[in-house]
Amino acid sequence: MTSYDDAEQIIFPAGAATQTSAAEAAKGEWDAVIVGGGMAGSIVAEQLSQAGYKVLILEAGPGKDLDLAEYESYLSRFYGAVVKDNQSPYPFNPNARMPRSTDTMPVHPDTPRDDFYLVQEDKYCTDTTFTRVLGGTSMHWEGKALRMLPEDFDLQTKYGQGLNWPLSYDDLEPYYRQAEAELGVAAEVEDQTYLGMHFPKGYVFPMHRMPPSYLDQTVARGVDGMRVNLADDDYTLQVRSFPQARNGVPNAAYDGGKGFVPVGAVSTSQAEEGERCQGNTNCVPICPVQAKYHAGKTLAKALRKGNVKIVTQAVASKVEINDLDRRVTGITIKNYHSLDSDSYETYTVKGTVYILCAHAIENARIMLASDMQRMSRSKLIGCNLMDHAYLLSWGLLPKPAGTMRGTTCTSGITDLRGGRFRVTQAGFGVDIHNDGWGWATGSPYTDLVELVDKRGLRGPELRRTLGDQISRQLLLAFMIDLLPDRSNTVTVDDRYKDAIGNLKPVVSLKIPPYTMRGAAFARKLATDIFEKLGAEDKTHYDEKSYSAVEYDGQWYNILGGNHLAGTHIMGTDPTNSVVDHTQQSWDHDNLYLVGPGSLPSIGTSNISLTMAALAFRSSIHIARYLRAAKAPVTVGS
Amino acid sequence: MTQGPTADEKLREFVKFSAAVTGFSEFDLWGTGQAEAYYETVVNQVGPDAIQNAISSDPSVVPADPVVQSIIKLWYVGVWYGPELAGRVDVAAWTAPGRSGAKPAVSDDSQPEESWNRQAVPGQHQAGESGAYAEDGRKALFVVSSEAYTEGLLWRAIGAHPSGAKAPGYGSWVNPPAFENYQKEQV
Ligand SMILES: Cc1cc2nc3c(=O)[nH]c(=O)nc-3n(C[C@H](O)[C@H](O)[C@H](O)COP(=O)(O)OP(=O)(O)OC[C@H]3O[C@@H](n4cnc5c(N)ncnc54)[C@H](O)[C@@H]3O)c2cc1C
Ligand code: SF4
Repeated sequence: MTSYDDAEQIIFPAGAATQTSAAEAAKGEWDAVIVGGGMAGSIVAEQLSQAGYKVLILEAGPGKDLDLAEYESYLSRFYGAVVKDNQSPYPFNPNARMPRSTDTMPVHPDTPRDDFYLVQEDKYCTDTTFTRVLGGTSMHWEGKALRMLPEDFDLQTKYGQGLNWPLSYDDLEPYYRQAEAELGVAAEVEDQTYLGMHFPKGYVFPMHRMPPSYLDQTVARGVDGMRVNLADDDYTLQVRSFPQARNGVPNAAYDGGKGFVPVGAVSTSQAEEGERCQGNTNCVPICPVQAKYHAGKTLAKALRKGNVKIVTQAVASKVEINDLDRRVTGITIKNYHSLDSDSYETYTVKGTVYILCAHAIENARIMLASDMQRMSRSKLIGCNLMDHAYLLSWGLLPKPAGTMRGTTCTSGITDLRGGRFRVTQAGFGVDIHNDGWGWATGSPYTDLVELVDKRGLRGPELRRTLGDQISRQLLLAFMIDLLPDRSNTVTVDDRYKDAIGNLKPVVSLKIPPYTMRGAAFARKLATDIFEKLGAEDKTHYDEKSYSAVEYDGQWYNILGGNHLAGTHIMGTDPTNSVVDHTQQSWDHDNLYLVGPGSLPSIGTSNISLTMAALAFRSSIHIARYLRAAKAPVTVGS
Repeated sequence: MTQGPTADEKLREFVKFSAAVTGFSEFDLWGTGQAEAYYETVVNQVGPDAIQNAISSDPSVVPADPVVQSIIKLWYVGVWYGPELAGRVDVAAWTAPGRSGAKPAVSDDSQPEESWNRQAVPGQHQAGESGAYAEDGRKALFVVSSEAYTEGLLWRAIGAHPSGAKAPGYGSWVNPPAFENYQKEQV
């Protein structure tokens, strides 16, 4: 194993996540109360801590310490779990549940309460997920860290689709760099300078790009130089490396030649972990060696100064509001005792400013459960739910290509992320999956059952056939843009509650024709690529599945992208949006909603880097707000 | 009466048979450290007679005894798929790492991960404790232990490594895959 000599060891103070009880927290007066200890919450906490403010983080999930022991309990739970879906490392928690792909199905009020978390009553259901443990969904994310394209920020002006942002690429650019440093992004500027994306002169990413897999190289031999005509424009395709938030080789030229120190594993004691990416192909659901960034790395930094405290097992249940001035007066939490019992105590915690960082669906759910829509001038809380629509295509290459090695995905095709065709159809990015057909078919386990049980293979023949078949698998995942639409919603419904009486989120997401035009085009492109590569197309879609969508007489399966956004959209005034460009609520002066819910569009980039950049930017505004709020006032009367 | 085979002899016989049906050498199988656990799993699940029948069955006969199929899959991925689940591709998909998708219809007693999840206390959790030897014995579907997962032969057969363990090292994925020479290893 190559271990860094130079990785920064991150010590998570022992007991930091448990030493503050909810009762104590409720007695204190905090500068900032943050709901959610995921990526957004950790960044804001760390930034406010630097600025010297007293911060309390309320975290719904369990999480004693961010310690290797706990981390390893996630790992062994994953190894030992029969069902290895992407939530399998995390304990079942009836008091702060998370959606699981295995629970995806249309539900009705009589469906047993424990069978599901996300309430979906429609025929089409998304299997999208998020995670509720300390560290949030970043424990579990894949770690692709793409910037949005400059044209994504004014889609409406350019193509008459979607919404414009109140910010431009250039406004966000410095914060992108800050986020790339925090997340430790591995990429090369020359690979990422396309479709208008630009970087200041001399900028390099913190680490060099992840080496493209042998599979990428195989695909590139067929794809590079392929020409596509779309809406009267010609596009030349190329396999391109994806920026990734995982530890690679630091770039010595970073920061004007100062270099970059990668962040190692988080532990309560010194540990030999968190080195370079080892190629476990297990980034989702959990990186065994913490090469992949997770929010615990930022959280541990936030705890260094001692002015940040965490209360875990504290589910934010209600935002308390003074009806007269509409200011938030507190957050009411249900502090449950354990994962095995539904007993809890209720507390209200108070601060000068409140920041909801519970992720897109939960932020909306908490506000709607607090009846805040009635005070919203835009009435857009929970509307405009977005997520990337994933369409999979899979084929068998003519020769072994080394599938099942490397990170989940090292490269893809990005040339159709932007362009004039977006007037009529959605743009998309293409991922070349190093982990084979797993996502689509359940390979390699399904191959095993096919070969052993159905074809009766055994002995050396079984071994050889398995090796040959799986190493030739190619899965292309098309990540397709989905525009904001008022009617795609998160709501709440009194008939659906969880074990401790919190309302569950009700989600209704429809895949619109604009996205499906992109999907149909993607499907055609996949067959062209397979043909070029001499690959046998094995794709089939199941029209009976909850993920089936019909378009133009064809059935497709559209899978959840796990990139939830839009539920408290950012805009230019209180009637067209929930937050302003600083993510401050238009309707409640001392409330900020920080996270992907603020994104007015998601384009074709995985959302978290953009969300992190916005979190850094908002932290400055929140600190400014606190400075003003806490300044000694001289008032008469 | 002559004395029957000792426990040790039975285990050796099981491993020898397993080598023939998996295509890996006895040496490889012992090397996984799972032989005892697997043997016990099979005995507990189908009983000593069924295992004896399987072992003495002609390995070239197709379709094989479903118990033989269960044994092969056990070595390959560390999962016990009971004979009643033979051919259930939907169940296999459900158990594959990283797969998303709805639950297939399998009987309720085949969901040990439920109790697994509930008993889990971070830091105290012992992988494998709810495995093969649980309560009333028979279960159609379970992972024998977390080691069983990482020791699965499947990963070696495909020139890879278990998803999530035994990582091959930074940048190893750049080169063409290398398959171990399985011809030579045949005994
Ligand atoms: C399988 C998967 C793969 C992904 N891959 C990528 C990728 O490659 N690239 C990318 O950019 N993005 C990816 N994502 C998305 C990414 O994980 C999220 O965008 C990101 O984690 C959002 O950060 P957040 O801080 O807003 O929310 P989270 O990380 O989800 O954190 C929210 C926190 O709030 C807590 N919380 C929730 N409800 C409450 C409550 N009521 N009270 C108190 N606390 C609460 C949660 O427990 C959690 O700790 C992926 C997601 C998944 C599921
Ligand atoms: S490939 Fe492996 S080591 Fe690298 S980030 Fe993913 S899980 Fe971690």
